[in-house]
Amino acid sequence: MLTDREVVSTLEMLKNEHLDVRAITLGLSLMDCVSDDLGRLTAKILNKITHYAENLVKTCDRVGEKYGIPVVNKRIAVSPMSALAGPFSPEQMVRAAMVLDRAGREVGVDFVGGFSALVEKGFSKGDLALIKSIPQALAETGRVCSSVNVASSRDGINMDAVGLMGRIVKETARLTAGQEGLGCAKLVTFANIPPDMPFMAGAYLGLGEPDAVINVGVSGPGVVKKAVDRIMAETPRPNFDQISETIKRTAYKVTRVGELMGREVAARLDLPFGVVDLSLAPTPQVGDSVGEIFQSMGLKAIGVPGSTAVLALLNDAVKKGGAFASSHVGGLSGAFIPVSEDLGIGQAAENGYLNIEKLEALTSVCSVGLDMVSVPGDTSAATISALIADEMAIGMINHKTTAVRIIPVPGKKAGEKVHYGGLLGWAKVMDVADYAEAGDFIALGGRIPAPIHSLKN
Amino acid sequence: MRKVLVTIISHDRPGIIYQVSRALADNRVTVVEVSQTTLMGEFAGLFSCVMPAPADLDEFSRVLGRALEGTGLAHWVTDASGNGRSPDADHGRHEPYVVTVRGRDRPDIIPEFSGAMAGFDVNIDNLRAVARPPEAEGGDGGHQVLMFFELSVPQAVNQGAFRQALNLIAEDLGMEMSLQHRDVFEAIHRI
Repeated sequence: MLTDREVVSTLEMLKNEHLDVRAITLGLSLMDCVSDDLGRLTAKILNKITHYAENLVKTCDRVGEKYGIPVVNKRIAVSPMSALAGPFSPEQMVRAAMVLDRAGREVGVDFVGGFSALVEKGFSKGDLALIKSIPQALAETGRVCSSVNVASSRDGINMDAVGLMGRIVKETARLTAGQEGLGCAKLVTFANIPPDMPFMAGAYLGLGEPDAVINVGVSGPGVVKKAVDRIMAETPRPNFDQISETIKRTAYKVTRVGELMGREVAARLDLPFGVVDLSLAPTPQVGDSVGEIFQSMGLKAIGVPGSTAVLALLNDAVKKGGAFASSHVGGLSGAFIPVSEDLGIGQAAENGYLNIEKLEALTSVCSVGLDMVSVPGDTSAATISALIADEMAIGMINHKTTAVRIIPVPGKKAGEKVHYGGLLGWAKVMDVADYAEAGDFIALGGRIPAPIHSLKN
Repeated sequence: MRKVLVTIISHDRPGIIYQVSRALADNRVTVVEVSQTTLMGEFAGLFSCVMPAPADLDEFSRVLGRALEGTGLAHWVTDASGNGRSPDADHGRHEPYVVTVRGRDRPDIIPEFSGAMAGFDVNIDNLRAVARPPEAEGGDGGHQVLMFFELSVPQAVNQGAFRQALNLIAEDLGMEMSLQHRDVFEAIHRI
């Protein structure tokens, strides 16, 4: 028999606290599609995706209905395209991206990730061709997401790649200027990219992964916020130990939902179940914001002094609760702080509590990095590269994933507002210290060596 | 051995279980399963028992009545030889679901929903109705109620049609309704 409390608590999480399964992502290896003939490669890709993902959306919807919990996004993450389309030119890479887009449209998913390259130590011919094709590929497709890993804790930072990505980000913004540079929302530059992440825009399927696998991304900032609000309303007020414990328990509950539903989807599709990625992934709705959790803990807004400590507590407690709830936790698993996608963070930036420098500090303890940050359209490519370099350094030294998803909004100045629409939200264009000397710095090129892995005192 | 079901109704107070179990034990009756509940200060208990065979149920009921005389406990004894369907016996043919209904209380909520469930041959294993404060979420100031039905739904039932039937009733009654597999509640709340 269920208790009143169990039923009421579950209903509250669903109805008022925005509990959902944010993404079920089919990871699909395309390595068996490799060919030196572009037509044959794309035909095999189309065939494999449509075969494996034919029932993905329908199955997710049915499982969502069974448990009364919606699966908001159904996605596909494929092998890094640069590895399987190595012989091709940038123009041919664009055609490969268009086939990914078509395959995604045919099976009804909203994004296909994996138009990606891993270049932390250097470029292959395919890597370079893919990176150069990114602006055109993202301008000509709607569903394709791209990621480039330019750094790792084992290999250091490929500063040539960092320099190149600054120019690629600028060009992507230019080619999608009619949509406020929206192409950049589908492009992420990484350090230590996880191979099993279900969240976009960075999802791809790593080379050590199975041929096909179901990974699940669960969210729940609203559930965490309400749990923190409830404990904060108690007398006497809780201390940080109790707040951390509350977040852990809440993360456990949310992760269990993802585990339950992900396993059922995988079983129905006769595929192995991979990981649950429990990430507090906000949306631009009231009550579904990571930023609002900071206010629940007594801060004026995310960005004021104390914010980094709160985020560290939040990120760690989420990981601990999630790890206990799932047999396999993977992906990013922590708290996202995407500026435009989070109402609380967006408002903090608009009201002057959060600037890009503080945002960077926060990324040293969050699960990703500079995410959905809008900067002036005339920010130089070198300064964007320098921002990427800083973020990669944080990831490399701290053995964590960091990423940059930055949008130099064409024609917009600092302080202006930009509306991306839907889940991408709105944001104030943030001021960036953009100096010509950044060009000299980035032009140095080469690699920043990997950090020492001993003498950790 | 003979299976019997002993039902006890009374105002709730300390000592009920002792008096019933003492009377049963004195008559060499073994209690196998018990389910009891209280509501508004009243006690109801079901005692599934086995007694030595052959046994006369009417005689046993009279003996039990004498043993419980002066206690204020009303009792009924029924033959349960043909019962005892284990919940596990139907495992694989039924799926456990939970229907929750919430909104302003009205007399026809339970008959309307339970009628639809019966129409689909869906068994109600447990029904709870909890009064909610008038200011409860979605409340309009009237008497708010939350009900949840724990169901055994035959696998042969058309889930879509069942859900639609319940949705139509909820709409007619102005209630909020959800139908969810029971596993999600256990996954969230139980280790």
